[in-house]
Amino acid sequence: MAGRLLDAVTKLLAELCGWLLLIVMSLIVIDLVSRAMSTPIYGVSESAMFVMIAIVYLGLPYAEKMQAHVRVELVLDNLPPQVAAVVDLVMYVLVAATMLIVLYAVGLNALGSYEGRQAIAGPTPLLIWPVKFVMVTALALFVVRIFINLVHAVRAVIGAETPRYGGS
Amino acid sequence: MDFFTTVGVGAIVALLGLLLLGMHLAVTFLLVAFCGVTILLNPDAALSLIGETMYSAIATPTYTVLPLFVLMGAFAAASGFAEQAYRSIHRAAARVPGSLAIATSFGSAAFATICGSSLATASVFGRIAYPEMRRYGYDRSFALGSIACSGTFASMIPPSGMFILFAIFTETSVGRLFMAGIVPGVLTATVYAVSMYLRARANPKLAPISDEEHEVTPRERVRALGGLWQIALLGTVVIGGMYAGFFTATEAGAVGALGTLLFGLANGPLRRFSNFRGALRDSAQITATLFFIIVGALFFSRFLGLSRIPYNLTVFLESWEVHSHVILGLILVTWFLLGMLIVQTAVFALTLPILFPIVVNLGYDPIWFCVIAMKMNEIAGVSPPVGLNAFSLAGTAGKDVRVDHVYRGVLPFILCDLGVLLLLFLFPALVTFLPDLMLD
Amino acid sequence: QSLTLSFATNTAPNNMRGEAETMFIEELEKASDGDIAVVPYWGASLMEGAEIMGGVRDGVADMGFVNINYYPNQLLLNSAYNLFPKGPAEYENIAWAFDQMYERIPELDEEFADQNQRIVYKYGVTPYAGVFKSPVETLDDMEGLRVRAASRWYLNLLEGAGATPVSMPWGDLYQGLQTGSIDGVFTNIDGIHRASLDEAAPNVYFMPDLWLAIPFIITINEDKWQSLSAEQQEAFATAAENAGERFADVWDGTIDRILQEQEEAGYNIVTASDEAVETFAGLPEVETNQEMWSEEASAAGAEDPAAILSQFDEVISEAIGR
Ligand code: NA
Ligand code: NA
Repeated sequence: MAGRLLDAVTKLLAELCGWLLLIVMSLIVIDLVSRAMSTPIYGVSESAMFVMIAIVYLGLPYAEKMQAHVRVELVLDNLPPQVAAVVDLVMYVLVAATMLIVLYAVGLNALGSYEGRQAIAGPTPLLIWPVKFVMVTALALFVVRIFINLVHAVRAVIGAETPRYGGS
Repeated sequence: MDFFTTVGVGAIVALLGLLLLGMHLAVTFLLVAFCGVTILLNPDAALSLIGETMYSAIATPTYTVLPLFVLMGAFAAASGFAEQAYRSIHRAAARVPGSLAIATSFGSAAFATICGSSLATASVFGRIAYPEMRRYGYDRSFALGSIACSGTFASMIPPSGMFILFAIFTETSVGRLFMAGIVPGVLTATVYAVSMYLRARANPKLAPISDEEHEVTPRERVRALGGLWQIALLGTVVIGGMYAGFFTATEAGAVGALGTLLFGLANGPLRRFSNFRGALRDSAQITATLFFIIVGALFFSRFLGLSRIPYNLTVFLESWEVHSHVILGLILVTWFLLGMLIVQTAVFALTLPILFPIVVNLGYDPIWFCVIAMKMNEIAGVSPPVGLNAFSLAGTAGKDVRVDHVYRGVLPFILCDLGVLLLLFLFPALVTFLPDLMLD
Repeated sequence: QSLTLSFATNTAPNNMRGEAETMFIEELEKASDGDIAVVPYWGASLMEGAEIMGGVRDGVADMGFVNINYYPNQLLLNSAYNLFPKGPAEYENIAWAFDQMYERIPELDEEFADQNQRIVYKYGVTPYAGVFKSPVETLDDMEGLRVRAASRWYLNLLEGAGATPVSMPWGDLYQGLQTGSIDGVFTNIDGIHRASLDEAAPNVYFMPDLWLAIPFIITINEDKWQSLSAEQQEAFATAAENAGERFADVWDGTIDRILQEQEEAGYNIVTASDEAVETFAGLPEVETNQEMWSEEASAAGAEDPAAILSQFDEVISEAIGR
């Protein structure tokens, strides 16, 4: 149940990212048209940048679900499947630990940004914390996704699942 | 070795070990660099730096161009736009060994006139050219190597984000650098094309020639060129629009994406909502994967800077009293080694401002030297283990593409690059005559 | 050497700003008799410009370069410099104005103290100039031109002067000018020359009396500072003084060199007349900027923004009159 909800949310976010990309495209087109007509609108390209950052992080859980992250699979593929499963598990433990640290660090950073009312330099001092909290939320979801893949890696080691790598 | 160097070297070893064992690329950078900063400074500083880098590494307006070009690539792939273009080229250049790779090389050079980002170019052509080359039976690594390496033209051929950075670090003229990059850029594209042709002719497995190609008549060749009208029109509008001052290099990405979207709608495929949504979701996934790697690689570069290894190398070069060619050679070797490990902007931010005055004092031409540096930058973008172009391509081209496939394909092109480098050494006028002609 | 300090900055060492910062480092090593060594991280190789203040606060670097404009809310009071377009035109007086401001307005240092750091050196960069695609010889010539400036306060002033203010990322400016997607850029003249913007838009409108009002600042982490011996702290003060004196020559020389190089390149250089400066400094937008700033400062909890503004006004007038 929780798993299916998570799947739905992950997919929804990826979908949302795609539409946000269209928004970035439109914002930039609006920016250049308004400038060409000598009636520039301030803060449009900065907003586009914020949306882009949101896209990057909101898309991460989906990329993890699709196992789309770049990794070097050469060695894993040439190990015996059981050994490869153990190595894969160790790597996933490290990935999970790292991303927990990163989540914590970005959380701290977002909090500081909120308290200090951090804003970007430029024609309109847009506040930064909203996008940073989007980052925190997306990273949290990403971490949950990693833990799900971690469980798969454990199951591969104990033989409850076919290992993804090795023996080729 | 002092403490800082030891930590730096240890981190490089750990990074390579974990990467080989199959840890996620971006996360490996983050983990190793986080541990490194913790050891060099303290945990609080490491948390602060990583928390901030996750945001600021990508919070530059000029980066907005990257996802837009990714979007453009996805639209071009989903709308049949790319397929049609490559089919036309394949037909028009029937029986020419490696024709699609050659088209990719020159196509990337043409694309470089609107795009200043190597990563964006590699990811656009990864989406457009890779599936098409595979469709005609091209060898995987050959196809990937040609795309990854041709992507680097974006930095050499103006406009170029890297040249602007170089100009600021070295106080040279942006206009001269832009002019100076044109000939070496086109020269490299040509050398690549020749090498593709020769390699494909010697080894038909790289780019097989099908039976139907033998039946193509000269008439059909000419007619096939007509299939390129859409891409020609879009190219003209974007290039023309940019040089006529309607939009900047950053904005060209948005215009390009809009253009492919409109063509895709007009041609039909993107009118199917599932195709359209698929292209959007694809772009989102690629954008996320790609930027996550950029963030990780940048954080690692910052850590390596903190370890002072690049600084110490530079100071060492500065203090050596040998023949000027030896110094220059050592600088290139240093850049090659750093370029393997750190993202290119960081390599040059860490070394160029300090090395540049030395080299100029030795009597080398400043503009020429910046172009040589750019050549090294191109190599750094594809050389393993940390080659952002290779990563970008592996993340873009499709599910079956892995980063080691890309690396297997880049080596012959790096040799071509070294050949071009040698030419630029022997004939510096290749670099300097155009800026001298246009700007004096 | 008993103390090694790291220093993060976003400039390269081989330009005017780099010279200013190098001089401070050299003077610091000298004033401490080699007791203090500084390891610089040039060219944003450790942190981007806008990250450095937070980095120094958290100990990522011991010392760092801080540009007030990168922190519009955190250094809001410090940003008041921007509200006074006309300033002293000699480096000595500029430096004097910077020093006086921090002496008379303790709130300015407090903003840095809130970020767990303190100022150890301040320097100024060159005054404003505009570069344009078409000849601009009076303020009226800017009418309708699309001109890029960085700070919101200056964009407002440009609008008051009749231009169409636009914002564009720094990296796009050269090409933006070259292709004509913008008509001009308004910023400090060494920044213009360094990025070869004058090459793309060779009509230079130099306004030596419009100072780049904000001081460029080097800070040190407060905990680090407290751990220093009295002699070491003293060395910082000596270094700041000596470096300031050395930099004054560079400052004058740089402007002369830039103007000379521009002339040799055949650019069209016009120095703004006194009337133009008075007109610009007297634009109604100067006042609306100050009002807007006061409101924001009050909202952010400043007790008496008006008093701070009048202190600024006073110091700058004295500096001009020196
Ligand atoms: Na380019
Ligand atoms: Na590399």
